[in-house]
Amino acid sequence: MKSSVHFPYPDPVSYNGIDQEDTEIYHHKELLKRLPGNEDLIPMLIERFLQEIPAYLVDLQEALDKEDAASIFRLAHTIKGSAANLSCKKLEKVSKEIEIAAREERLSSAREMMPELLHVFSQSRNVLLDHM
Amino acid sequence: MYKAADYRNNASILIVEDDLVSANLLAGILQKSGYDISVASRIGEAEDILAKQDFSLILLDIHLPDGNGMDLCRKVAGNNGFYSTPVLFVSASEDLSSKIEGFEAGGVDYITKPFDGAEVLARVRTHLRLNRAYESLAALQTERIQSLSNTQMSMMPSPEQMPEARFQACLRQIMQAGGDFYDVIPSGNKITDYIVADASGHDLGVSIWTAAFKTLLMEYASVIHHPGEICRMINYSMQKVLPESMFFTAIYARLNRLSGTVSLVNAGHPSAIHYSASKQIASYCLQEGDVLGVFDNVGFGVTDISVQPGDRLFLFTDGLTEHNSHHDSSMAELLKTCQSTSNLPLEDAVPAIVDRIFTDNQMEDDIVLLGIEV
Repeated sequence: MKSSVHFPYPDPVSYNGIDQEDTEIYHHKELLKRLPGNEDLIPMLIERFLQEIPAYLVDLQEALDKEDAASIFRLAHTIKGSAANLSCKKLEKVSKEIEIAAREERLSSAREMMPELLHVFSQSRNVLLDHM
Repeated sequence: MYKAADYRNNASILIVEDDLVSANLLAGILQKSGYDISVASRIGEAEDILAKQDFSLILLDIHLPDGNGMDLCRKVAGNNGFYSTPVLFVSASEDLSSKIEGFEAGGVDYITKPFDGAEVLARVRTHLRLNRAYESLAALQTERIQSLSNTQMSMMPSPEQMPEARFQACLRQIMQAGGDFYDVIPSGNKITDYIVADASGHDLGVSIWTAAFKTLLMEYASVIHHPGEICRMINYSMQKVLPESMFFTAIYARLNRLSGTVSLVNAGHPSAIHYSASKQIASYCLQEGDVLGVFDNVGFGVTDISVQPGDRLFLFTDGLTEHNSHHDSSMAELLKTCQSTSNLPLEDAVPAIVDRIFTDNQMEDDIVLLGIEV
């Protein structure tokens, strides 16, 4: 599946030596464990994920620009939930940190974490595409 | 009011979740297990769906773009207990305060992200089973109430069972397990006792006491005892067993068709109506008396009246005359109606009287009308 989403930012540089099967990025086995007998759902879920998250990221950037703490919280929370359900642990962690920052009104911290969020999503996307 | 869908139909689940990955994951797992799934990603959307359809269970995310899921949870679950659809809310695992809030809003359980398919299925199944058990229980209790009412109805003799007693009864029950009843007992040769009684409460327990009353009647109603004595004996027993707030009123008419007399005993009950065929006038046999089941020493109105063949006697409960605020006018109305139906045979006259009284008025209370022809 080719991702047809337009990113407002240049594709972040991927690090060298990243283990493609880094389970922090995407833990396929853990996902399988949580969905016994439902493995056939995984390609569909990945597709959904790859469609939804970029849109949320765009909205999140907008919210950061507007300093809309409530929306930052809600969007980060939603991305966190999606990431958790798809066993993308790293993405879950980063979005959780942004969520907490927004709740505590530390908006500059939240803004600072955005590039990492985008980077981790990019990494996740690459790995997920292999599992479709 | 949001009612849980009938569990006999295919179990239907509404997922309210804006994160489509999570929503699809839940939907996928649940659909595979045979549930009908609907998905809403906004509270507004969920409300629209709920307005058109009942669900067996709702999975509800708290953080939704157009509002707080808790508010929807309160609307659906609220304090309605088992008549409402069970709501399981979706919570983040570390969010304890949300969980507490969710329960307080009426949620019955929660599931956390990331979802474990087996756990979700187990929780959903548990709550569907629980709700099904509640519904069975409710159905069983309703059945019990029905059979109590039926029992009460069967306690009262029908005119066909006792043709020589020459009566017609009309009983209308508005309350579930009413306290109004009548009885007809042949107490001697050509002597028939007619009783109409009214219990003071209307809840389920009343049926037990009306059964007790009837048992006492059966025990004592014979020519050996005068009606006044019978009422005193009933009072004695009732007074010992009835709960504090309960009492009975009763009117007891013993018709002796040989001597042409009616002995009327009144225990705090609406007075009987005597329709004289020769004079073509109906009148009240005004009496007063103490109610039954409260006092140690009781006094009742005791009157003997002469009756002729063709005369009619009407005993009734206050539902027939207390239906509007003008008590005097409704008493007069009843009298008039007894008169105006005198040309009808008794079996038609009695229901006709009830219908005429209540054409314009709402029946608010149980009513009994017992008509007797001499």
